Amino acid sequence: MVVRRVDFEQAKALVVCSSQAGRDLMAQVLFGLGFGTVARCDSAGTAQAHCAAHLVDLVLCDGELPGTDGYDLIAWLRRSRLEPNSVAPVIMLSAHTPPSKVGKARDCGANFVVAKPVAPGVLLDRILWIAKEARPYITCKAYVGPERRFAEHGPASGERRQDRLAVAGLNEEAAA
Amino acid sequence: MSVVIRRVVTPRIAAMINRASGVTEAEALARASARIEGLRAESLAALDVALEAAEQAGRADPADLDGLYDRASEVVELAGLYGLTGLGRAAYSLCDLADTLRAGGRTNAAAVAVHLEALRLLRHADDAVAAPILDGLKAVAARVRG
Repeated sequence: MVVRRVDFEQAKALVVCSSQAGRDLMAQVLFGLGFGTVARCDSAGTAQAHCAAHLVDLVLCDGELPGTDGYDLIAWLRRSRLEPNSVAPVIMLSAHTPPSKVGKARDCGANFVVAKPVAPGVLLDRILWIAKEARPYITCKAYVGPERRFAEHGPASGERRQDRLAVAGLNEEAAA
Repeated sequence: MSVVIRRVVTPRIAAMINRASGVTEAEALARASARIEGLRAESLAALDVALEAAEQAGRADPADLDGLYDRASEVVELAGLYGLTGLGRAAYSLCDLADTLRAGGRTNAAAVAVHLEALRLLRHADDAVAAPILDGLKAVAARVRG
């Protein structure tokens, strides 16, 4: 078995979540995984200001935010032309993942949806997957973000409800 | 005809994997888990605040479905990370209920009250007693969905 090593010391993450407890938890998980810098924002507005001023290598964003929600924030980021931040990997987090929300996350340009509570192993799996995936990045009038139709649907381990829903959504789109 | 641009984007974090430096995945996961454990007291205190806020919201205005949904979402996140599986599932059911009701422009004070009572019971209950309570919530949710 290959033992992989990770060194995220130079990586800059952004956690966007309206609840302080949620922000603290996600930040501590990322610090534990070795991220050197983790910024925390409680709203879309503060996250937009952060993205405009700082380099971001990974975004963890709650779908439910007061005012502008997380899905609209990511759609804004994708169209912001703030490169390289606008193409940074985005993992949407949601405590409640009906198919409608998985579809919203896919359509706003997020790379993955992960259901809360987020176990460290699941989060690391997704980060490693995003780092190695060769999904093309699409820019067109209706959509900006990672290609929504892709052959491989994520890590084999730790598949959970939202992944199955995401795959179902992608298959529907592919069949359309 | 709309223009579609396809390009390959390699995230910066891709270069941070499989370096000689850093830690193994197992070490990283152990450190992350230890940090979650280090937040146990604060997180459970925040969980109790969210439960209290959900109860108050439900008592004051069962039609405040956005408020209920937000508080229940917090409970899902915090309960699940600290082994309160039954509580987390009941909170998820409340999220589902609030989402269903607001999508249909409806209210259902009785269904909300049953969920809040379940949350109160499951906060300190053994997960072994959670099954019949969760079955009850499932039946309530099914009736609400019609």
